Amino acid sequence: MNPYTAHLQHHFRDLEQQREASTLGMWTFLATEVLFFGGLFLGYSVYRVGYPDAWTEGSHHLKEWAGAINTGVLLCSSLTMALAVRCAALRMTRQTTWFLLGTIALGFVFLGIKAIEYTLEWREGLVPHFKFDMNRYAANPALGNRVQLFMSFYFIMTALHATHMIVGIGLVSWVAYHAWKGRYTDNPTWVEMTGLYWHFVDIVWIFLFPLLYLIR
Amino acid sequence: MAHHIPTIRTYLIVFATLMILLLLTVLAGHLHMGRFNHAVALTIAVGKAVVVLLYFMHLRWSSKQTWIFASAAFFWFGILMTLTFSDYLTRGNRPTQSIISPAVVPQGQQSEAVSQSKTP
Repeated sequence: MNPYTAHLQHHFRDLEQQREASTLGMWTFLATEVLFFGGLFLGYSVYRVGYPDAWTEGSHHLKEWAGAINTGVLLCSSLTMALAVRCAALRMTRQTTWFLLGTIALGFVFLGIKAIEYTLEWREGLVPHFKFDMNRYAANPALGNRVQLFMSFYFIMTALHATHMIVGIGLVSWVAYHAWKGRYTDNPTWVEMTGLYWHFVDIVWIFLFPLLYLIR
Repeated sequence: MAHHIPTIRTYLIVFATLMILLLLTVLAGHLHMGRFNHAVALTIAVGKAVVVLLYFMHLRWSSKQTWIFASAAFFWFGILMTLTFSDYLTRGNRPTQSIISPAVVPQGQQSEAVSQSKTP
């Protein structure tokens, strides 16, 4: 059965109940995502308490300007996403599509800045195991090893977040295509659920930014 | 569908609030407040997250069930953090000891031990 034409599936009483079920399902998924990222936040916190000097040192290697600009870019993308959801709820097809395209563009800006950051870190020899300049820590190799641990947390957490951004851009593109085709005029729930995912990824970054770049 | 649709004005106010909080957190990061830096940065982050959850993610206008599902996520994350730290933070018997391997490496020899085991 085509989910767009038959927008009310037979096992739901009405659209409101269907929407409520979708919302609960999406939040259940997001709860698993909180715990997925939660494990990394936990590991980060344990080692931060264990090796505070290395965490301070590592944090100074990161590009604070890039992190701050990217936080702003993500907040802008959340605004465009929220406006897209609003337009979809009001059945404004064209505006919905435009706001979704804006969200995609801001998502790419985020990934672009992230890529520049990774490139700079590679050049500066801050990538653990592959290209880490231990000469910097010739006087204190133990600290160098612990800074590598910090950088490992940084790369894995930001890369996992970037992966979520790529998935998010894919989802928003798919939804934008169908919005442009006018398939959400009966039921805009798809746009709303994609919005929940996008905002969640934004929240993850809201915590990554101070934890990695700011706390020193 | 009878669900609440926020106005554009609401969204713009929310967005402005988030941007001001971002500015504050960056500025606060450059003040030297010692351990307070952590508290301020995390409080602002929680504040931003709550604003996004309530307005952009519509929790403010959502049903009780949705609230329970959303709270469960953070409640379980709280369990994860609390139980793990109740272990790690009570392992060392001296406050200056590192929590990572206090029982294995005696205090004072730890940095040498780590450098020997990890330096290629």
